[in-house]
Amino acid sequence: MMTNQVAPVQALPASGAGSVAARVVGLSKVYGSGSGRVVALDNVDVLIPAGRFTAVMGPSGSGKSTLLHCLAGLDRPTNGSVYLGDTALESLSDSALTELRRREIGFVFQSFNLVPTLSAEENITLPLAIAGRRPDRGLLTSLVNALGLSQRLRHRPAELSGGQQQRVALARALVTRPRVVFADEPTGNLDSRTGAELLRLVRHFVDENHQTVVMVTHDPAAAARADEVLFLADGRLRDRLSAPTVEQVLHRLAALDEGRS
Amino acid sequence: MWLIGVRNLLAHRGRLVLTFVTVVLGVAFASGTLFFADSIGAAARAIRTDVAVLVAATPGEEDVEYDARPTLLPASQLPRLAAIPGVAATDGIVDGYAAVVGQDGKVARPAGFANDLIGTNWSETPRLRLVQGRAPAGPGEIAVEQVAARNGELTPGTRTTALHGAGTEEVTVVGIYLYQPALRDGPGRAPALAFDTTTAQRVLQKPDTFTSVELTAAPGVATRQLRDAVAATLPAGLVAHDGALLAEQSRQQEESDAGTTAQILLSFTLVALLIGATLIANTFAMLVGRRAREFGMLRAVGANRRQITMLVLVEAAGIGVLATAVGMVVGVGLALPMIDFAAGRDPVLGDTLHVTPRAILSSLAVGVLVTVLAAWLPARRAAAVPPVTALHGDLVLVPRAMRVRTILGLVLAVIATLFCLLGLLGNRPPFTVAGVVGAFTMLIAVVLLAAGLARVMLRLVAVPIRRRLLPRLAVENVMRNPRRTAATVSALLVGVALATGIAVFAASATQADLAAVERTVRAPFLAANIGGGQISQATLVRIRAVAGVTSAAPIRRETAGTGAETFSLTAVNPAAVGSLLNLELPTGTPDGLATGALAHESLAAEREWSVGDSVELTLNGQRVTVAITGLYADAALLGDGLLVSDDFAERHFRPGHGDTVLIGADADRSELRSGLEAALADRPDVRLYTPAQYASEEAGAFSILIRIATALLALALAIAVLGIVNTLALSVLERTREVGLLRAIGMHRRQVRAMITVESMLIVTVGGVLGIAVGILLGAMVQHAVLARPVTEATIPLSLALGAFAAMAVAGVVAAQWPARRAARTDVLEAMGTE
Ligand SMILES: Nc1ncnc2c1ncn2[C@@H]1O[C@H](COP(=O)(O)OP(=O)(O)OP(=O)(O)O)[C@@H](O)[C@H]1O
Ligand SMILES: [Mg+2]
Repeated sequence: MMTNQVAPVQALPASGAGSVAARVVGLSKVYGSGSGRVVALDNVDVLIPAGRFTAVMGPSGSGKSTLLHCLAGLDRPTNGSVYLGDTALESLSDSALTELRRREIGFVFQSFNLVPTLSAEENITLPLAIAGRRPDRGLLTSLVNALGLSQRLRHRPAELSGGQQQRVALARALVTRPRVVFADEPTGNLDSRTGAELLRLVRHFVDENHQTVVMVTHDPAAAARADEVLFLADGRLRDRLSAPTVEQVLHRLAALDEGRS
Repeated sequence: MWLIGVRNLLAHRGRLVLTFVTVVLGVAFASGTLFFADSIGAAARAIRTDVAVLVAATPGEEDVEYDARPTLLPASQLPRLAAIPGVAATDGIVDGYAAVVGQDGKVARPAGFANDLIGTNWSETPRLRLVQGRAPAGPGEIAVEQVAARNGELTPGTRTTALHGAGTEEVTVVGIYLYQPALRDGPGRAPALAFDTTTAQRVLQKPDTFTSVELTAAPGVATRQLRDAVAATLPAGLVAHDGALLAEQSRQQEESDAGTTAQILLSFTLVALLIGATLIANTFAMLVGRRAREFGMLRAVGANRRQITMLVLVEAAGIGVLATAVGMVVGVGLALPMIDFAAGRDPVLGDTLHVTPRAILSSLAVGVLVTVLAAWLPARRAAAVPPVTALHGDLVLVPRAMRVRTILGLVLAVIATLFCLLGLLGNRPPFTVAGVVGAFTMLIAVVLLAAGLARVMLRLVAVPIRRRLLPRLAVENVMRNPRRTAATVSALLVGVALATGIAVFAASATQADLAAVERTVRAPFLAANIGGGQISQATLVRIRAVAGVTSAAPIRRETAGTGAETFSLTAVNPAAVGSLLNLELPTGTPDGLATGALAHESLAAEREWSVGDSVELTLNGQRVTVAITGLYADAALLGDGLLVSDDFAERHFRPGHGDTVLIGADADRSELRSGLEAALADRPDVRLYTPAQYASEEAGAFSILIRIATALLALALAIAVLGIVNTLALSVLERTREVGLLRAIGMHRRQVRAMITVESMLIVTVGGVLGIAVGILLGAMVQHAVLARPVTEATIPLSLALGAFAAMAVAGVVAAQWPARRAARTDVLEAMGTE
């Protein structure tokens, strides 16, 4: 059982700008107080390698979303530090954090990713519009083509299928060329074939563009497409697995359950 | 069920704040108006009733034949009247033009709303009640009416000047009085000053004459009998009025004045309530939508439709009762300063607050009924929600009436357009009336079509910013719930349209006046008495003596009659026509004035007079025959009766020099002005004007309209702000997730705020532009009808329009503040977690 425990992440090399996209050190997140106190994350150290596809797995309530939110600057940790590249997030004001989200981070939620009043294309370019920047036409075209959205650009979200909506959300997350794309159960609301298609696309962007992606998922098949899988339980990082296969992931998950009980 | 209703009310109190505020405001306006009307009306009952018979020369209503005699009673009538059995006392009254100069060198205006200035004689009767000092006892002493005393800062001991038709008097103020009239015939006017009787007779009328006599009855004598007894002894030309009847008439007049004021104020209130009801309906629709799940659950556990409806209605009634109570308290706060103001202008009006049960019950009915009715439709829709659907989650209550509304609106718009086109065809009644009908129909049509029009306008706005995503996002958001946007827009639209209409009418009327004066008056200057008095001989002599003045032509007026009907008679020097006055004569020449009279073309048409006819008039008790030598068209200053020469006036008019003098000159204007001002220095009641100044002074009557327009605009904006706050707050609430998403992908708080502010500005712009457009149409058509000017000559008051736009911009920003702040504060994770 102890063999499953990863060694604590050491202080990271400062030179790792090229190799480390993000990291958290001694991260804790506590909700509430007194009898309602919930420790969502308990002294977690995680390192997200750049240009790689990292999956985060764990039982419900294990703190996966909380970790992602802290990494993405959507939530503030109770203790510990979060670094995006070399930037320490805790030192940033709300507006600097907003700016950082806009430039350095792409986000794909499980659902309700799109603004219903805007067309698919407008949704994709929304982060640029917010920043007052013009979209890079070449990048946009290649994204749209790669994601198979070229025929759907004028449609509004309500006129798109769930898979198409998530692809639009992915395009939007990628359009700013962010340092990291975070995705919280992006395939959670999709059937398995549609989900697999989305994952193929994510994989494609990681391989072709060296895009760093962190994805929370409950699906072992999805996790198996990642380069590395982090396993969380009870707010702690319990295990990690490189070059995973579905069987290995299932096995580790089972081990995790055993470890907990 | 009641318990759940009350619990809900408490649970949702945050969201209900807007509804509450709206009802409070509506009730405050309504109850404030009612309290005000009841308070000033209550005082009318306190009008003096001690006068049994009023003897006066003015023709009363019983007169059939117009018979204008010299309007004075010889003093010798007084002892004779006193000797009539049943008469307890006589009060001989002298009224005539007079004014008192205040410390500031200007005429001190007395209580009352009329422009005319009068003075009277002192008598020891309740007519004048001394509040300070003593009664005037001889020449050189006056008592001053209390409001005039306040306005002119006059106290007993102050030395000042009294102005009257014959000249001026240096006087000392010895007393301050309160005027208590026995007869009120229209908006009150109090005599500004009182002389002792002998002086009053000398300066106001003629020695040993009175203008009227008030008789009091001995105990037990009926006024009606006394009147008959007195009337039997009166010489021809004098009439006795039943005092009880007059008091009754005065009381009715007073009440109808108060009633009219209340009606005007109430119509404002009605607009406010109408808009308020829409806001309340919106809020309830939203609340009900958000609680569909709760209702579904209640339905599932066995509540029936009626119970759900009742639940919502109970909540509405709860708000209605609470808000009405608060609104009435605010209403008292509104009524108090209005009562103070009215009583300050006219002490006959009551100055104490009367809270009548009628006012309380009406306010309660208004507040509770409006709220319950506004909640009724959403309540019914809530009840119609099938339990299964409801349990699925949020439910947008889609309105079905939109299509019917649009069709009705389109039909009305077509009718309105046809009527307006008809209005363009002519400047006479069938056409002008059609125009007005068309304009008002258009207002209704635009309100019905507000949703569609807003959509079209927003699309147009969106064209230039199509490529800019954020403004477009705001445009899309405004269009998202067209019904709600339409309701908000119409609230603003109606108020702005009415305000603009009034302003356009007032500006057009002013413009018409100006045009008429500029067309008619060629004299570089004119002097006019501001209180309806005559210009004295001395003043006229001094004007003529000013270097550069070549002529000074007084304009004199008199009322003449043929049969029972009266018309105005205006006299000028024939030499002035052409040089000082420009007359348009469809028939005849200016020379006709020397040999006869020129008739106004409409009077001639009405009486079927033509050039060459001889007309017999009754004038100051004499029968006079004049020949019609020509017809004149509309002209400023000259009335619409007969125009005669000054020689004729000298022979048949009462003595005097008219209230207006046209001044001709060959000197430089500015030099002349200072000379003339010096000549008029001792007469603050005579003002010097250029024709343009005179026209704008005349148009001052319309400034009250401008004020009404401004008040209406302010009210419209206040309500619009509430409406926009309401709409935006609801919209932000519904878009919580979306705002969270926008924040997650990098939108700054200030960008969120800006987005909401733009939404607010869009609503204001649509409502404002539509309102102003319809308002211009309204104003143009009404001035067309009332002033008989072509539709296209309507004057649009630019400064007011620009001011309105500025005010609306401010209102838009103000309205956006709170919702924008709320939206910007949205917590990303919480928002994304919102189901
Ligand atoms: N806003 C909050 N307030 C209180 N507790 C919270 C809050 N958000 C999360 N939690 C708690 O923190 C713990 C971790 O939650 P988190 O959402 O990170 O779990 P998760 O691993 O994403 O679960 P799932 O797989 O169900 O999405 C849970 O016990 C949850 O109840
Ligand atoms: Mg989660």
